[in-house]
Amino acid sequence: MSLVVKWRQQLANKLRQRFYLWLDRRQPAAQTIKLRQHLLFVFPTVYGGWFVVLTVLLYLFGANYQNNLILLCAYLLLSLFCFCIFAAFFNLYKLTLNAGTAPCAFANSSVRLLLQLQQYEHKKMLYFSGKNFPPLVFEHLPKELQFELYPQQRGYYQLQRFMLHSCYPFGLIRCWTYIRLQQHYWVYPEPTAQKKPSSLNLPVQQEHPDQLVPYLAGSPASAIDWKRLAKNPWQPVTRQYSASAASYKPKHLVVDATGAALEQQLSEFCALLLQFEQQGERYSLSAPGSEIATSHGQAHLHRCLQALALC
Amino acid sequence: MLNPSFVHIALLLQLLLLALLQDGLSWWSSLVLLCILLFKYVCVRAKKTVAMRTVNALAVLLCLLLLSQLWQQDMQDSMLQLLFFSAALRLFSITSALRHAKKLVWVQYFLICTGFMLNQSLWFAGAVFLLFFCNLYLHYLLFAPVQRRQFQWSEVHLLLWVMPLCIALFVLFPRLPPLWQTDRQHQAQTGLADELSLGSLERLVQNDSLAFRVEFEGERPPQQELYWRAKVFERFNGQDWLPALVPASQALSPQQASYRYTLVVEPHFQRSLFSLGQVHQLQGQVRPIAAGLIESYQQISRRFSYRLSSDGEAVAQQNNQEAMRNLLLRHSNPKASALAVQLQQQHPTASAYAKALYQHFQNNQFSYSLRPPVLNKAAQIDQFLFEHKIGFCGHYASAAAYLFRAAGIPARVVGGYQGGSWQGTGDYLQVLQKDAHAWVEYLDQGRWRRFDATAIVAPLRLTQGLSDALSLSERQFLEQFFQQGMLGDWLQQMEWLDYYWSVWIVSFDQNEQRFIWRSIQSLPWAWIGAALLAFLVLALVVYLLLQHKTENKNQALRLLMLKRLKPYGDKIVHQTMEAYLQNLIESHPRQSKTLHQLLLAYQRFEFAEQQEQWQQCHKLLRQLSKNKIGSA
Repeated sequence: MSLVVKWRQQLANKLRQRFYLWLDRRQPAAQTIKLRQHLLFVFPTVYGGWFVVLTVLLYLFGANYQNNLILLCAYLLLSLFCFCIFAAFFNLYKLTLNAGTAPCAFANSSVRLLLQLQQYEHKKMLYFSGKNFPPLVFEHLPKELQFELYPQQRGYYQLQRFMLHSCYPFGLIRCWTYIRLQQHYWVYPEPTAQKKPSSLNLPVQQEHPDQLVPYLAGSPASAIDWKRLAKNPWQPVTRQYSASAASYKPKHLVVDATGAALEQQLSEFCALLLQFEQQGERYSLSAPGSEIATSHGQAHLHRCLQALALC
Repeated sequence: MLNPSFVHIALLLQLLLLALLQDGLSWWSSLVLLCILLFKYVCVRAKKTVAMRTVNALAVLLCLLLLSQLWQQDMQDSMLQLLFFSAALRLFSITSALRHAKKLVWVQYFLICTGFMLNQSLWFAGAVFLLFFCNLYLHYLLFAPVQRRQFQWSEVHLLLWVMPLCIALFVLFPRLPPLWQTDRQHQAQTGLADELSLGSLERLVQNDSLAFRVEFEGERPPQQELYWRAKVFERFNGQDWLPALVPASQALSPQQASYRYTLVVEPHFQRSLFSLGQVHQLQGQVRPIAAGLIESYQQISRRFSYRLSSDGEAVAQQNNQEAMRNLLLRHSNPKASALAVQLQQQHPTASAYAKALYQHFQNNQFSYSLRPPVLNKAAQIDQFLFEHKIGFCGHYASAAAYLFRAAGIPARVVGGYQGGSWQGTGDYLQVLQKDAHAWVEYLDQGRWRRFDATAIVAPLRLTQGLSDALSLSERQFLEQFFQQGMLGDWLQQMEWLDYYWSVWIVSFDQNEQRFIWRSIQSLPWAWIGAALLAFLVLALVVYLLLQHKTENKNQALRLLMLKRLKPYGDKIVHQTMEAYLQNLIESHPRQSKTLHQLLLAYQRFEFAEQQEQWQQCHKLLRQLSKNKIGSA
């Protein structure tokens, strides 16, 4: 018994693999996908099958009693069915999905992914479902699709092939497609607070600002003293940390752990990098396979975090 | 999620359907259905759901009730009731889940379509189709967005594309013959009785409903020749005239016929059909039988149409047995027999005898009435001929046939309809149940001649219909509810519509389908194809030309600008047109104003698609080239 089940599962898996291979050849991952004839599948639903049974029954009924009006009803239903084939097809036809920039998130939190749509105005009742996000239902499509991807391990991912289907207008015919977009996303290691002081070239934790200086355009927003701003909104001030300790000595992080310790180290480094950036410090990172020179700013931070994610 | 208005619309639909299908439902089932619908309405108002167990219990109960009534009812009506119960219970059990609602819509489609089993008139069909589209809307609601509820025009617009396909299917899709025999015994009101006794047509005469309609091709017979034969009564048992026991079928002899006509018969649940005189050709599901009559292969349980060609000639005698059969007489009326013998001695030939009989009816103060005194004696014909002398067609036919047979002339009573009224602008003849008539045919020189004593007694009965032949009080009796004036006209128009509805839609069949196919095949397809191809090619050429032109206009302007502005300086290859113009403006300060105008005009033409700027560009270019030449 179990052998049969196993065998069947194997067969199903194999078939599915073949199908996905075929799909990959038919529709390789692309930045922009316009739903055309070769991507859309159209087939009657179960309800559509019952509808056809109804039509056949009515036809037999009408033929047997030689009742033209019942026949007319049967033909009306049949032509409605044919109309549905087109209507269902055109409900997805020409819809264009554009991949956006690669979003990022920390491990164990969901990634928010945005897809731009074109020619979405008259599309109705669409269902999106895929392996790495909960199913979405849209009665009318928005201009921008938002996917909340399930939390994942750190790394650099591509959005998996997902399905888009619709039974509009009469639920008789289902039109669907499997889409693979060239849409990547980053999952950085989850930042965790440091447990033991590291032997590395680490800064001393700075908790109190040395002095407050008036805000100058270009100062990091994170350095603004918000409490004071609330009291005196006309004179924003920024906290300035001791220059001798922070700004002049660039921090340098080296990823050297292996095995289980690696994840722990990556998480700690992630937290540190965020902290450095917040404090307006300069920092550099060396990880296996990548060496990032000393700098600061959001772009630099993300470069470092990406290097951590790929370790 | 179910649309909130779904249940309300479904309730309304079932209520209307209940009213519409009253004919097919028994009183108790109507009551039960009404209760279910009302209860559901109360539940919806109170926002309560019904337990599935209640619904199942109710379903079992109703099925048992239906089973107990099964032997009393028509099978078809039982099926209709079963369908209606399932639809109502489906509605009763509906929740916010889509599952039940889908099934409900399915059952309702079936139920609405079976409504056509009951009635196929235009008005009924209109109502049924209205409900059909109402159900279609319900179906749409199931799968449509819930939030925006209004129906969009674009969808209705798309739905209109369904109609041509539907009509094409109706006209061209092959039809199956009936798969199994469906008999339906029904008490229909018809002027065709199975037997003819004195006074049997009395009940019918007040009936204003339609019997059949006829459309003539070409020549039309005069009103007094419109004797629609349907049945022949050859056996006389002393009281009633009955049909012959063994009707033998006989082949037709195709000849040149004077009248060709199509009949659309209302259901009368018999096989007898109507024809004029001697029939020569048949078309449709009909066959000839004895005595020159025709009948259908099946009971007429729906509107039925067939075509005939015949002439006004009397029907030919088939064999000697027929003559012998129509001589048998039990002499139960001594006075009448004596009269027959007396007249026969004076007029030996059959035609002379018939004339003498006409004279007898004319000279002896016979009169016509739909309410004659009751014939209560055993010798009914004697009582009618010599005491009352008042009656209608049944009385006269019965008496005349007796007199013929008593004189040794084969004679029989024929039942059918007489006359009819021309409808519309005389497009077709409409024969009502009240036109039912009976007359006599006697054998004379191998043909069955017609003898209609009513024609002598009430001649207007033939030429202007029954109502004119009657006295005022009689007419009032007949036309109790007959509307006159505008309403009457309007009703006549409706009748006319209904006629074409039944001719074109209800009785459309294989024959007409074959005819349409043949006429489609006979179209000049080569010419149509060539014309279509030519049209397509022309459209393509025009399209390409137009596109080419719009594309070219911009290109041409750019080329012209390059050519005209060449004296001012060459354009660098990858430079845009605007950058080039900007350069020129800077390098030629004297022309900068004109060049600036040109830049603006060019931009407007190219990007804002202002076509009028095209001329402006040309004007400025001409000016520029003239200036340069002038300065050079």
